[in-house]
Amino acid sequence: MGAAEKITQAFLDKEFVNAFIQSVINTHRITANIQINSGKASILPKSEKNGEVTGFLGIVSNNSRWVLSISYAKESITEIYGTMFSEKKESIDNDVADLVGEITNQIYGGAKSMLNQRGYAFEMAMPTVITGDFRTHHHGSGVTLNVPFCISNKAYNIWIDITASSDEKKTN
Amino acid sequence: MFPANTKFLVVDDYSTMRKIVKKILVDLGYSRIEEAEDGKPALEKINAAVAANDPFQCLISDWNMPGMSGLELLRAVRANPATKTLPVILATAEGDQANVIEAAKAGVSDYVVKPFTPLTMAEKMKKAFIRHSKAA
Repeated sequence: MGAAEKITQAFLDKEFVNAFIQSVINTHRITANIQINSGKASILPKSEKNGEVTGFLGIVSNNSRWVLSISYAKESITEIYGTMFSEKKESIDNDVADLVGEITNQIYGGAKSMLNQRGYAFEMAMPTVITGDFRTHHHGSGVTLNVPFCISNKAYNIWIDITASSDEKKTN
Repeated sequence: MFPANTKFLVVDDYSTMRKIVKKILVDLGYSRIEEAEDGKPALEKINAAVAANDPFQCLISDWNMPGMSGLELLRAVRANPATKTLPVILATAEGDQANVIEAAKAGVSDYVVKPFTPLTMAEKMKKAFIRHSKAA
């Protein structure tokens, strides 16, 4: 089975997507004291602008390689930073980028634990954070989830994107 | 619980996590807190503190770091007679049972899975302190 088929199969598995959504909820609630409005996540079209700062992870389970990304708009991540550290940020600086990296790390760690109990074999990974305007393009092997949340009655979004990598992990 | 003058070393490649752990420690009343951003500089600090006769009394480290991992740091600490009894708490996003067993085998004092609340960290610290007090 190719990587694209595996990821398509995984997205048919509600538990796979829910593990990431649940981990987003847990991470933001515990680390940032933010209540995510669970149950309202939606799947976005195949090409969608999604964020100005993104944590990327190359993730591996068995022989499949996927790319996970967690994106925020500047307004939402600076609001989260302010909530956590009582310090107002006007831009996405190194501190804010570091926060996105740590959140990405925690979201993946939480989802990984849940999924590995269900037969996946996700391995450790280190996130990379990139800033800039993003538009995700899928080619039939990925999905972007939009997860809404509120801080001080203001509505924001987190975008979670999972895409199958074009190559598969080589095994001996 | 660790006394108020306990000297802590917080190790994480993410400054966000170091800030979170430091804030928890400060809120618990501790003030002797140093930081390192990877296992290797942490080990250098630990050994330098021993040489200066002012050793760290608790190490709180991330597991997954790009240079020397928290597990490698733990093994190095346990292998050195001067630091082998140092309480070490691994704070990590890796909650798999296999990771917990690996850390236990390497002699971790306690293990906290991210994300964690200040209360959870305080409980882990209390357990680590009791465990090391009994062993002393």
